[in-house]
Amino acid sequence: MDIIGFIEGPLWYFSATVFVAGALWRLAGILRFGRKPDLSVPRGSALAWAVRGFFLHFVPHGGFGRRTAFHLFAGYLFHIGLLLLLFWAAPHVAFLERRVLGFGWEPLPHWGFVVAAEAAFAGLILLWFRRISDPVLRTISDADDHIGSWLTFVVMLTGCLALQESHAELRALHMLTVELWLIYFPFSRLMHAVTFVFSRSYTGATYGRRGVTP
Amino acid sequence: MRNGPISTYGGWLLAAAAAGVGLFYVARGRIRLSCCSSRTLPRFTHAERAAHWFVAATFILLAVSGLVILFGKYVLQPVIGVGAFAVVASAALQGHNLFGPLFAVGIVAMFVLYIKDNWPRGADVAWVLKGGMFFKGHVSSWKFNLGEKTWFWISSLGGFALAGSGLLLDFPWLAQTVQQLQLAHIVHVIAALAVIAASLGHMYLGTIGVEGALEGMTTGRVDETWALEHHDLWAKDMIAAEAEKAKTTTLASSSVSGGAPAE
Amino acid sequence: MTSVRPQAKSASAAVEKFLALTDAAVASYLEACVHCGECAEACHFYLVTEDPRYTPTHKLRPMARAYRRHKAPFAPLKRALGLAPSEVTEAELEEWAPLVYDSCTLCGRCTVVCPMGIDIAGAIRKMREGMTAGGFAPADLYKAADLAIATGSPLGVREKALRKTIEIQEKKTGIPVPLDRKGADYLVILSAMEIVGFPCTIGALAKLFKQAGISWTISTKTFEATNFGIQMGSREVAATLVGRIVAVAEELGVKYVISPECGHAYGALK
Repeated sequence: MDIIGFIEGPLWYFSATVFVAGALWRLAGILRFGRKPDLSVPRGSALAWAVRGFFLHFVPHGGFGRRTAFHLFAGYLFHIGLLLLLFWAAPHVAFLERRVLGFGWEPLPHWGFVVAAEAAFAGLILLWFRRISDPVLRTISDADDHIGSWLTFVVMLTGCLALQESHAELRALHMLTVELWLIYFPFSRLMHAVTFVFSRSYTGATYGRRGVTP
Repeated sequence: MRNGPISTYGGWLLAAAAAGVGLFYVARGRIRLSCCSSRTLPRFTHAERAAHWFVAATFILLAVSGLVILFGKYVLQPVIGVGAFAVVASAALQGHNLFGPLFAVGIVAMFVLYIKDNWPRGADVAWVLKGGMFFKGHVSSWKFNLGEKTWFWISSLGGFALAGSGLLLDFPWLAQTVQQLQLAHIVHVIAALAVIAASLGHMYLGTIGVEGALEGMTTGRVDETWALEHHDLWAKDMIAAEAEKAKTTTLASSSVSGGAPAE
Repeated sequence: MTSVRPQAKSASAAVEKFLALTDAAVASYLEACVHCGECAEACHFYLVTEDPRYTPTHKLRPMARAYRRHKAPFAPLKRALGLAPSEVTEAELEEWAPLVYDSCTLCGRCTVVCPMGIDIAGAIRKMREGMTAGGFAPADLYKAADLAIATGSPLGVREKALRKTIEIQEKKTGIPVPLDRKGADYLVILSAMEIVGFPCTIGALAKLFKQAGISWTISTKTFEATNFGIQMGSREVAATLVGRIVAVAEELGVKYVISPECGHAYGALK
């Protein structure tokens, strides 16, 4: 088996397994700590506020709109661009259909893919600028933050380098970086993609039950 | 024409620029800060810095991929072979085409943000006559000296030329004739080589070449002594402005403190 | 009498408490933070000083490090590979005490602004439990808590002082203050500071209740509302102090307990 075959075959299965199993293990590990029941008289439904809290923290509220505008803009530009190209770029839809789900859907036209990719890159570059220049982020950032963001950038870059879709080597390079990313995911801060659901919901439930907007 | 004279001269230009930077470093050395004051002055706003690093990042990606596209056939292909080079060239072209529009947006934003301090002024003549920073000894300057202004105009006008010709090359259906595309090609290559060559000097001076310069573009503030040494006319204005601000802030806070409420 | 303050400072006692209080919610908070720095934009202390050490998530660093070293899902693996954070030290907790106590009012603005919905303020509240258990809370808070447990009031205000103050107010307003009255609608609890420094509050309350025609009372046994257990982070102290209020409220059979404008008092009751 040559190296490209290895990347497209065994390494893919290995990295996907580590990704799914690792993320589930970590999530289960967090949730099993459990929580003591709140003995106070409920002033609102914990469940309803768990859901409401989750959606509420998507938008700036509490009067912080102006101060957080740059981060909000760059963050959404990156995440929305990334989500669009991950699930609606034609090569990705084809891959998911053939190798993961067995079914696909209507992908974006090529120009849509390019626009989404550019938005994602623009957002990531602006976020990277913030992380290296803002004194707060310089104080609190650690290796995990930098590795995670650079790894994501490299995955996106190799993807865009393979855009012509005519060289197996470029596709394999992209797959290799994706696999590294999948393996890194459960052990790093990239897991926020999963944990944010729970952090928002717990806060929503805690405060909503006491009659306070989370 | 592209693969002949332009490539050849362009290649020599880049080599010359790199050599020039190296020579400057050897001859003049790192321009050091004489001492550090505990005070800093604001030099670049958040927007200016965001725009700069955005353009810098996209520029580097475009420059590297662009050089591969231009010189790869002569420099890389003999080393890695035709098959491998085809792969590299495809990758370079795809990357180059994707980042182009981002650079185009960024360079326009930069031009708008930076132009106000980049018009030529009287002090620039004196700066040039005294030899700028090529010699030790103090030379007066406003916020940007003539060297920096030259870089601004080269990178902006060059950048516009790159963006305009690049968009035509990326979306060929926008052109009406083949001649337009050929012209775009030549403009693109010449502008690229000129800007890349100049950028080597800019990147050198902004990082290791001048001690205390990089902080301005990362944190947004520069050491006061650095400011007085390199841009004293601007520094004096800024120091006065900071003093004014401090005065009004103290006045405001002292008028707010009243007595405690009576019991 | 044993003090709330431990005999000697102990980083491991603090860490033990941090870990004990890290339930699923707190763990999800510590795991979800992406170091985006938005919390700083909401914190008064950062906004005024522009010192990044006041970034709310930064205040939690020792607790986060302890969690990642000992309790996080892959902690044993990371420790074995030398990738886990180092052990939390006494010096670190000493350095962090001013950040956790002097530079946070638990106002919760950081919780509101966080894109991950992390309850940072709540986590700081939990961190204070560990700091207190380890002996790293400010000395005055330990003293106040000790006094409150021993005498009922953090300023040592006892029944005699209360009665004297009430007497003066009754003379001023001409309205009697019912003491230890069973079956009243409202039980009034006060902050020691009000009794000592702003006694006219009592007279004002008397006028209000008289105007509204509501029955009320003050208990001479338990009249202190403030809760230093909540402030410094000691569940045991907090429970003891609020337990006294609950006991006397049940004993007198009142309908409502009215609390002064004290965040800790209100929080304890709520």
